[in-house]
Formats: sequence, structure tokens, C-alpha cells
Amino acid sequence: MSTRPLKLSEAAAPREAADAVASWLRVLEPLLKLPDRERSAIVEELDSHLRERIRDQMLAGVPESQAVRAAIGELGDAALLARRFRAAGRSPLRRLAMNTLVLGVAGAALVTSIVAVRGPGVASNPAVYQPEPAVMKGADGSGKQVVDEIALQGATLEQALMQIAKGAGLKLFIHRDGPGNDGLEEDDSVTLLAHRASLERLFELINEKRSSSAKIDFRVVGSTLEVASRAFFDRRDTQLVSFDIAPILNAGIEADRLIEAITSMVEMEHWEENGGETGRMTVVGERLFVSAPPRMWRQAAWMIEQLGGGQPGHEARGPERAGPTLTAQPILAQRELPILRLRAEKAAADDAANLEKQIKHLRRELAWRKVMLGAELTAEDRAAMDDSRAVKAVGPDDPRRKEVEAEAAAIRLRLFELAHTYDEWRKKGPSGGGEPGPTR
Amino acid sequence: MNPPEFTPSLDRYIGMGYIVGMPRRDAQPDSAELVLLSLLADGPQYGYALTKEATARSEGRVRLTPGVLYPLLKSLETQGLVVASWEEVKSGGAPEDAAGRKRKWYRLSPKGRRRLEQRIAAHRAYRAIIDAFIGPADAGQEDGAR
Repeated sequence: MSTRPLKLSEAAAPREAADAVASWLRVLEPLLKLPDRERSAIVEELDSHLRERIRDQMLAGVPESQAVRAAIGELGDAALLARRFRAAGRSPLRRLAMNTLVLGVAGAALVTSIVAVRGPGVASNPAVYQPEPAVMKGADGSGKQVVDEIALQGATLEQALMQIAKGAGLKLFIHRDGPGNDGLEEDDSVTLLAHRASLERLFELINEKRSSSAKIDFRVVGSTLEVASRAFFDRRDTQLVSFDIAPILNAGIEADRLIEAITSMVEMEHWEENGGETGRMTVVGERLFVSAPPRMWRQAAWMIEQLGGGQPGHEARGPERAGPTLTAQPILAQRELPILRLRAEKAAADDAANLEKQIKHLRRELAWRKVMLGAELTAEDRAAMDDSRAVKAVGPDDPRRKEVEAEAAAIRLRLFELAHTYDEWRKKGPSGGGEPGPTR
Repeated sequence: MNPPEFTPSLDRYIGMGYIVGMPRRDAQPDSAELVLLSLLADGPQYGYALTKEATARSEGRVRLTPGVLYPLLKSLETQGLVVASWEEVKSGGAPEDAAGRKRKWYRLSPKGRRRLEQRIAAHRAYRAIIDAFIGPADAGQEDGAR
């Protein structure tokens, strides 16, 4: 009955489910960037999968809307899924060829940079990334606070932290992520004997015996020593930054290969692409967007620089920046795009009111982008446009059109994620989350 | 039995295939490939049926999530390890002339079968090496029972 190409109007699929699945697949399809035939085959297969999954869940008594969200949620992030499909479509031989190309270009860039710095004829050393210290300092440059004497034997972690805070003349604040989830409850005792040791050093000593998932970290803010799992600070410190990768793409390196190179060399286990929890990347046009804490995106930036990204071609377009350094720019300072104000972490949405506000905000921005693109507005779009502004229409030939389309797609995806988070929050209720106050 | 539920904090990773109770990396992508080839060795299957079969056969411990399954199937197809074909499926009560939805079936190719044999041999060799240090699984259970 339907004329839509996705064939979602089959009698077995409830209307709401069909619409939601079709919407999601319409977001995914352009991201696949594969030949038409392959793209439609993937869409058809996923469509079939989603409908069967939804039907099975509904038969098991799950409400339709919940079944739809769960089924789509199982597919994960559309951009990531599209990237996996693109990678899967490459034969091993082609992958090898691309690896060789990346290494070749990286090598050439490396040699060029070394020659540029040292001049020809000077013995060259490889470029070396200078890592952040394993334990980061406080925001105010502290972490250098010295604890005169500390002697602990078989103390609990909390006792040790209290002693350290007291020795440094700071108040202690422990952030807890939840039982078994924050590394602060690992059942080991702390033995420390130190004389005039810095906070940095003391935390290094504590972390030496702890498993990687249980590493703790600290920040000094004013007169408070904040302690939490490294994962907690990673979430809190996560920034969304962007890089100009046009020179890399122009050198023939595909965006996927660049992402693969970064995710296999930089903190490998922490990227979502590798099943990690901390960083994620996506390419839109000629820009690479990275959402990660500074210790990760700075390493990615270094690799991009080694590959020729952020060279003068980009500098010319960024007059506010000086020096041939990284092209990473915190998005907040760079653009007005509201979606980019949102942290990559769902945890950034503290409560339902905040979520509702964000969802409303995104709906409004999506509607305005539809206006810019000349797309048909729904009643919901019109209701969402509760402000007044003048926007420039971007016609089919406008060079900005692709960018606006990508923004709209990103907003749609984020809207979907937030709606899911909102549902989860409502199910759990306000008592389900929340952070405890200071321990002392 | 219902499979374990995802906690909200895992929402972002629900596209990943993993083995419950094991570090996430253990299930990707090599283990998933071995599981998938083994399932297809029993006969042709389509994607959704493969996810259910993996869950059922492992009593819920292995989840082949679609975000991992379908790209992996595509990769196997690209490598010629599986051969795909389409089937049109009509729901009950649909008119004769109504277009049904399509279902993609996969079967193991001879090359895929050889790959599976290699993977099984490699897996067994690896397990034997580790067992030399920790003892075979049966021995461990007997020790625990005593």
C-alpha cells in the first residue's frame, strides 16, 4: 500500500513501529556511503531484522514503543554501524593496500616534519608524542601539593584518602559512581610510607596495585581534593573537538582508515569502536569530530598532525589561531550548534527537567535546519519553533548544504538517544540516580 | 529465560557483541566469527535466527547483537566465506499479490568451511596451551567439588 521504498507497511508491522523503523533507517542509509545496491540490501535486511525483533518482543508482552526503542537500540549508534558496514565491505587485500598507503603517507609526513625542524643532513629522531602524566593534576595546576609525612599500613582506601587530604590541607570529596562501578570499593588495603610526597606521586603509588578498571584519579579544586574513578573524570572532562582532515583525505587516505589508525594506536581499549567506554569519533565532510577526554584527543591530534592534518591549509581558514599547532578547537568556542553543547555522555543529563529542556532545544534546532534545507515542516516542527530568527536558505547548489544536512542528521540521532535516556529515567524515577554528597 | 538486561550505563554499547561475564574484547571480533561460522555449519540461516540461535545454544551467555552480526556477515560475504541468497516472506493474511519483505539467508561456502576448521583447530590449540597451566576445565570442577 505504501509507496515508500522501505516496504514497512506490511500488515504484521504495527504502524508506530513501522514509522520509527523507517525513520531510523532513513538516518542510517545516507551514512552508509556504499553503492546503491549494497545500501538498499543492508537497509532491507535490517528492516526485516527490526520488524521480527519488535514482533517477538511484543508477543512476549513488551509494549510497542518500548519494543521499538529496544530493537533499534540494539543496533547502536547509526554512524558507528555505518562505519562497520563500510569496513566490512573492504576485502582484506584492499585493507592491506590502504594500511600501506596510510603508513606511506604517515612516514612521508614524519620525514618531512623532521627535516623541516632539523634541516637536511642532521641526524633525525622520530617524532615522539609527549603523554599526559598518568595521574592528571588539579585544574589549578595543583597536584604538586606536598604531604609532609604519611605512614599507613593496611588502611582502607577511604582512610588513606582522608589522611592524604588532611596532610595536604584539603577537604576530601569522593565521587561515587555506584557499587562495584567506581573502583573505590576494590577490596585491597593501602600501605604507604612517604615523606614530602606530592599528591601526584601518592596517587601513582595507590594506583600501582590496582587493576586498570579500578584506577582512581583526583583533582584539586579550591581547597577540596576531589577523588573518583578515572572513568568518572573521563566522563566529566570529555570534550567535543574537531579537526580539519582535508589534507589527509586529499592525500587519498579514507576517513575510515584514519579512524582505524587512531583507534588502534591511541588508548585502544577506550574507544567505542573497540568496545570501550570513553571516546568516540565521526567524520562529517572534511572534519573529524572527536568526543573524548583531553588525554585521548591530544594523542589523536598528534597522529592527525603527523599525517598532515592541520597544516597551513587549515590555518588560513582559522585566523584566530596562531602557530602551526593542533587544529583541535573546542566546539563550544567555535560554533553555535546547540547539539554540540551536549556532552557525549548520557550522564550529562542530570534530571528529567534538564533532559526535557535539551530535547525541546534539539527539536527547535532541527526544525530550523529543516527550514534552511527547504524541507516540509510537520506540526511538531512548527510547535517546536517557539523563537524567531532569520536563517539563510541553503539551496541544492549551496556548498553549506551538506554541512547543514549532516547537522540535521546528527541532531536527529541525538534526539533519539535522549528520548531513550528520558524513557529510562522515567522508568527508574528520580530516586534511581543522583550522586551522593561529600563523604566528609 | 529472559536474557540479562542492559543497565542504562551500557546503553551506548548495546550494538556490541559480547560474552556475558567475560571482558568485552574476548567476544570481538574473532570469537564472534567463530561462533557465527559454527552456527552456519549446521545449515543455512538468516540474521535474526542466528542471534536467537546463539543466545539459545549458549543459554544466554553469548549475545550476537545486530550491530556486530550484520557487519560481520557482510565481511564474511566479502571474503567469500558465506554465500547469501534472498527469500521473499509474506505475513499471514497478506493478499496474494502483495509484496512481502525480503529475508537474506546465509550458507557456509567451502572456503568458509575450511576457515571454520582452521579456527577450531587454532582455538583448541590455544585452549590446550592455557590448560597446561591451569588444568583442564573438568579437573577444576572436580577440585571445586571436593
